[in-house]
Amino acid sequence: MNKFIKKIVLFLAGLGMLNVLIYLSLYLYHNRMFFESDAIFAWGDSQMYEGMDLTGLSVALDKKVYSSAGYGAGVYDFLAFTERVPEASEVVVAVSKLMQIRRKENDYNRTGLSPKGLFALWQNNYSEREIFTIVKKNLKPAAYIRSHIKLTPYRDTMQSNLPIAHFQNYYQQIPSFLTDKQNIYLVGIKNLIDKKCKIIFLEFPYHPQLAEVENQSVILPKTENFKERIGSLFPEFQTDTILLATDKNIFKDFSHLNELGATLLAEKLGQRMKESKTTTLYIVRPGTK
Amino acid sequence: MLFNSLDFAIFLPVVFVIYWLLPAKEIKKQNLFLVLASYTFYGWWDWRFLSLIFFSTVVDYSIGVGLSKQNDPNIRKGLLWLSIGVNLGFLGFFKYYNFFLDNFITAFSFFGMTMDTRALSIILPVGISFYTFQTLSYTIDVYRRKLSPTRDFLAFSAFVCFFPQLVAGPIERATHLLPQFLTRRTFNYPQAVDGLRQILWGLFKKIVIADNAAIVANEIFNNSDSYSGSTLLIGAVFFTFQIYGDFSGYSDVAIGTSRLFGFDLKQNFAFPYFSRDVAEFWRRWHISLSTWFRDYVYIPLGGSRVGTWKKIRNTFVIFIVSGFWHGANWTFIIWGGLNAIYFLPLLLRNKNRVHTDTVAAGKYFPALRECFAMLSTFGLTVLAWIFFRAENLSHAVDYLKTLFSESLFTVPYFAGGKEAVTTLLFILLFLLIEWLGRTQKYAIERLPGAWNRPARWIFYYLVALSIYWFGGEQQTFIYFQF
Repeated sequence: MNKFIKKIVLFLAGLGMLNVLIYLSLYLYHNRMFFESDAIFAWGDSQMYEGMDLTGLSVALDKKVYSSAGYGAGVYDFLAFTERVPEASEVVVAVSKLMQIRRKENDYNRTGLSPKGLFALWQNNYSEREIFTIVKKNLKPAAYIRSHIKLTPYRDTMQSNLPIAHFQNYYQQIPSFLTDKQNIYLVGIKNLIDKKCKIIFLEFPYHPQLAEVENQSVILPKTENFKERIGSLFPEFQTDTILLATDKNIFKDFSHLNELGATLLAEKLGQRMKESKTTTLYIVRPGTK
Repeated sequence: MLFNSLDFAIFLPVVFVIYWLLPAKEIKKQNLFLVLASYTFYGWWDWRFLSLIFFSTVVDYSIGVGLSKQNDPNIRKGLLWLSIGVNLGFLGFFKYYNFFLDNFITAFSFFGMTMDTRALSIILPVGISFYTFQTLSYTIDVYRRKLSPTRDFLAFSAFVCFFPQLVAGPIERATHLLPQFLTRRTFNYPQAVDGLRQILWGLFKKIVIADNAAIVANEIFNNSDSYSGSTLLIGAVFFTFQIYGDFSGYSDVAIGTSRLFGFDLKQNFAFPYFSRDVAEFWRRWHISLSTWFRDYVYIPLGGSRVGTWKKIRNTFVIFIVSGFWHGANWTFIIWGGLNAIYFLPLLLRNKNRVHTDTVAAGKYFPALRECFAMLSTFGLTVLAWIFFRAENLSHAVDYLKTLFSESLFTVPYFAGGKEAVTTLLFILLFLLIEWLGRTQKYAIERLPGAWNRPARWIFYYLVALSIYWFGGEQQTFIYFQF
């Protein structure tokens, strides 16, 4: 019996080590871009994924730009991202309002294992079951960062798979977890400050129809107040507006930019980033020429 | 509790250690602990149905004792029918009530009549078909005086609810398993190692082969109306491997787990996809169920030692009942009937026991004729599985219509095609290992045994790593629904 247990323990220990080795090798293979200190790293949810032309921004700044944005990315993904970016790097972070109000279980939560991140969730009222679910989702490494994103081609009008009622439903009442998510978000920003990163914040635009829903909702004051809380973390902080001035349609749907919008934004953001010395939150808005 | 879950990964070592810490002399304590562990295992799913298992245990134990005291043939027969009635009554109510009700309503409406009835929202207790058949075998064997009834209620309870095989078999005979609960069990190192090896192989079959094949099969079967015949053929082939990996994988884990506790369960699968005809296939597929039907239904009906018409009747009865055992759906009945049609020509020409040996025994490669025989049998099996997997009869018929249309000769295309290629490579590797180990109880029983220790450990590590890194999304075992 002892011999049997000893052998099992030995086998499992070896298996554990092999798994760690494979995990690390795959992680390094897929995410080697995180080790380039002279690059720009972008993070956000689908608004950033669809709304940022990485090549355009790279050309504008003459630097490599990598994105860790993804559909449904949530606060845990942000925490894991902040742990991975190199020290003193330049980071573009989307302040997504949909991410703040999206139900916890709908968050992507697949940016790898981060014990510190999980602990932050636990400190902010995530249940053990929710944390365990996140751990299960991250047992295998994947590519958490990419250098190219295929943008949604231009169309004369936006076409949404989701009806406006879907968003109205989201904006109907203040979700119970809103403050928790915002607090976790701030933990991530503090991580970046501790790493002496240069941070650029972006607020992506909504289509006017969705902006109208937001303006009438009880959530708006909470998300507006959150921007002030972000600003209070920095000795110098400013808010600026980027107007995507064109007569053409820049929206893919209610909340995402199309290729034209993403290209325009990259171009304008690149110019501003070259000039900017202070930590800035750029509020992106549609406009006409 | 699923074998491929974290819950079971914690449950098994805890139960294993406590079990062997109990003194081997005290069989009653070991049995009591196994009963408690088994009830916990089952109750993890739904504790309410534990009462059903307990009731079934009490009834069959009491009837067994009653049969031992009675010599009056009428009373003995009455007791036997009481056991059959109670066990099949439960099974019928939980599994078939709504099926019969639906069909009565349909039949009545055919004659222009209406029935004012309501379907009940009945949950099918997991494993009811398995433990019902197991306890029935006990009563029938006691009735036939093949087995002395036990007076040890604890041992009998452990026999009924033994957790490794409680929910999806193998369906053990009382003559084989019950005596093992009455004898002293001591830890046996080679047996435990063998058990672990079989568990590892079973998990590989389930998690790497079945769960990955399920992704492809589900995509194609669920959207069969939008795919070509060639794609549907791929869907049917992947389901063929899914169901084999799923069920034989479960059986391997069940048998391996039992060995960890010092029990020996019967082989349930013997490399059925290497069969050279359908008769051989049925000697190798779900052996514990096939032999149950053979011994308790087919032979009492006269088996094959009767006239031609009765042979035909008996064959249809056994295959259709076997199909119906799988589920209350016409698709299973047609699946059974189709297999009867495959089997009958062999039986009527007395060719049903031609292939009782292992194919290409002692050789690496089969002869061309054997290849053809295996491929033909495999093809027939794939077609039959379409009925087994389809949602209903019209789905199966539509599936077959598209499969045998001109589009069968087009290039297949479906979502997840790239992942399917990886799965296919694993299936080919799996088939190769199964082929090399086809003379054993399970494919890797002795295959790595001939190698030195480092080679063996590398092999085990490769299997374990592929389970972790290439495992498909966790799916419940198909046979849990039966």
